[in-house]
Amino acid sequence: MGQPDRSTERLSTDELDWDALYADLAPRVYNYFRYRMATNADAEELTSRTFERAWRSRALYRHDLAGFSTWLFKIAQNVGIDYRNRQRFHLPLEAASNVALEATPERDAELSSDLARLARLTAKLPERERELIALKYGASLNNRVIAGLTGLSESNVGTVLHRLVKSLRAQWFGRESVGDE
Amino acid sequence: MNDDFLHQMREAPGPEFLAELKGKLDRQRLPVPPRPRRSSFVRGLITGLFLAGAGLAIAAVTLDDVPAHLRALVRAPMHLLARVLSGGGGQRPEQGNSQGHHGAVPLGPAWFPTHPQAGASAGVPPSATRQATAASGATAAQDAPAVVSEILTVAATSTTFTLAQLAAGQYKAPNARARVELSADPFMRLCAGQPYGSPEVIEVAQRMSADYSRSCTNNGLRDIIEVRLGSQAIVLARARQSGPLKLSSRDLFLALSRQVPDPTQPGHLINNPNLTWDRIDPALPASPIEVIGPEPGSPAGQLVLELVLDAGCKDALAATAAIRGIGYRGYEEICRSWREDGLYRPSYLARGRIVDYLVNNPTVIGVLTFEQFTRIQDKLLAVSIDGIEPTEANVANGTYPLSRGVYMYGVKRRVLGSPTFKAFVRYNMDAKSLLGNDPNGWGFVELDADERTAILTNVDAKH
Repeated sequence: MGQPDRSTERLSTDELDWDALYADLAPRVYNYFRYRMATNADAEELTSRTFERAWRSRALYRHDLAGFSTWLFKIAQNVGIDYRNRQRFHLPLEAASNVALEATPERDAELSSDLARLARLTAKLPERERELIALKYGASLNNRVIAGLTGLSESNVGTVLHRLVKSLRAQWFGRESVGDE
Repeated sequence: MNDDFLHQMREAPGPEFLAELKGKLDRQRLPVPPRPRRSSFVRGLITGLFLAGAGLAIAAVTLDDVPAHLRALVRAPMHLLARVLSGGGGQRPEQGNSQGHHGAVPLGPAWFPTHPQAGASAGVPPSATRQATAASGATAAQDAPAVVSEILTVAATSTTFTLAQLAAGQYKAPNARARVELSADPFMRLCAGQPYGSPEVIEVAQRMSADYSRSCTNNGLRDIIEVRLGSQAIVLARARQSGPLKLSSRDLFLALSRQVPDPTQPGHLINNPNLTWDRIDPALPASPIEVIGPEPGSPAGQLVLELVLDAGCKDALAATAAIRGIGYRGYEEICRSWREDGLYRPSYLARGRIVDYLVNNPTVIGVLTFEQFTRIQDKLLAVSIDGIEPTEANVANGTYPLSRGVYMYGVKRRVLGSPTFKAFVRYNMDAKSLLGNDPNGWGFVELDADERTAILTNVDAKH
């Protein structure tokens, strides 16, 4: 018996539970940006921008085109790209190196946090691989959704992540990985 | 893939930040969807007419042989415009703008006025906060703590993290708070017996096993206390007109798991080929497998995953060599992976719409919280699991398969006597008014009132 085709079902905006969407996705978007930016302040700022942009255009969301989380994370990706581009143009490297950062307990804690450590380990990775880490472990997305967001195949996502985790794990724990435990 | 160290860096955003952002979003009016664009033919026609009219006007003004009446017709709008601009007759453009101004909303972040400080509690919807305050006003007053400087560290799993975080957000005291951390194995952290870095309490959705109990004892922790906070429960339901449906845990696993035993090659696993219920068991209806519920990556989705698939996996795969000796990681891969071919679909339908959707699609099964189902039983029928119906009694005594208890464990000497601990326990249990309608409390079921009172009395009494 064939499955009824519900792929073109279109829910009107008022049929969606926006409170549930926010409660579920806000922490995931936040953590996606934490894993990309490594600072909580940046993560909050970019999470706000993502949701403000999404909420303004939520009437345009078409259920038949993509799951809501896919749609929202596409917006988050674009917000992140805009932010990084602006950082690149407005803060030349020479200026960045001369900025005297105020030493505060919060800043010290941030710099020594696990997330900062991860940022140092991933700094030299290609952009695509840093994005995969953030989508998988920050945003808690499955490989299928990640594939849709990155343009990779699902199996490719799994393969790349497996290799990345193995390498990061070895660096994190300071020993050669002996395989999955 | 041993990737716990990457998962553990997640943390919840601050409740104040969440509440403030939610407030901004709630103040946005729903934008009007864009009007459908006119077809290109109509646009072309209008453009053509405009150009033709402009050409005619130019010709009428410039050519000498054009009849006078046509010339006057073309010039009339120009004369009117000249009168308007010179101030004679009609409104001045400036006056027109101010009288017709409708307060157009500017674009960009400047939309949002500074939001006044949130009310009593940040991190929860204001309505839930008011309900919580009303319902637990007396208890909150009792819990007004003395001024102590302490941080109660709580380790929670992914499915109890949101509950613990909500309770922690409710507790407001100077110099004292509960800090909740996500942990893949809270029992291990508690029983490690480290003087520093171990959490004071853990919040988990299973009872401590004998192995962990021995581990705690071996590390000098003989005074572990257990506090039952409530339960997590879900109900599978479908339209009443479809009639009752009885499923086993094994049926659910074979319907919704990504991989299932290969019927032609015992001991091997294949991608789930079952499209209809009778493929799993000929005694079941020959209707398509369709289940809607929380998004798989969400905390609610994780809860559903664990409740729905765990029980059936062991049964369905007991004889399968593929899972012998696979270890914990392999278990996660095989026994806790949703099928991803669309037969389980995430749904963000508003609560009022779920019932209508299920009634209009009688072959679809919806995953609901226990609270949701009890409110709409007149329209939906629960699916019984292993012959057990989802009732309050069956959830409380743990016999209903799609439910489990939520517990808190702590080292007695470190927590009893702590006002932060007592308040944290109380807020974790006082869920009905606070969490019943809050997405973050999805699936939580309160204890019976008598049992709750007895437990809280016990916690308060032990110093």
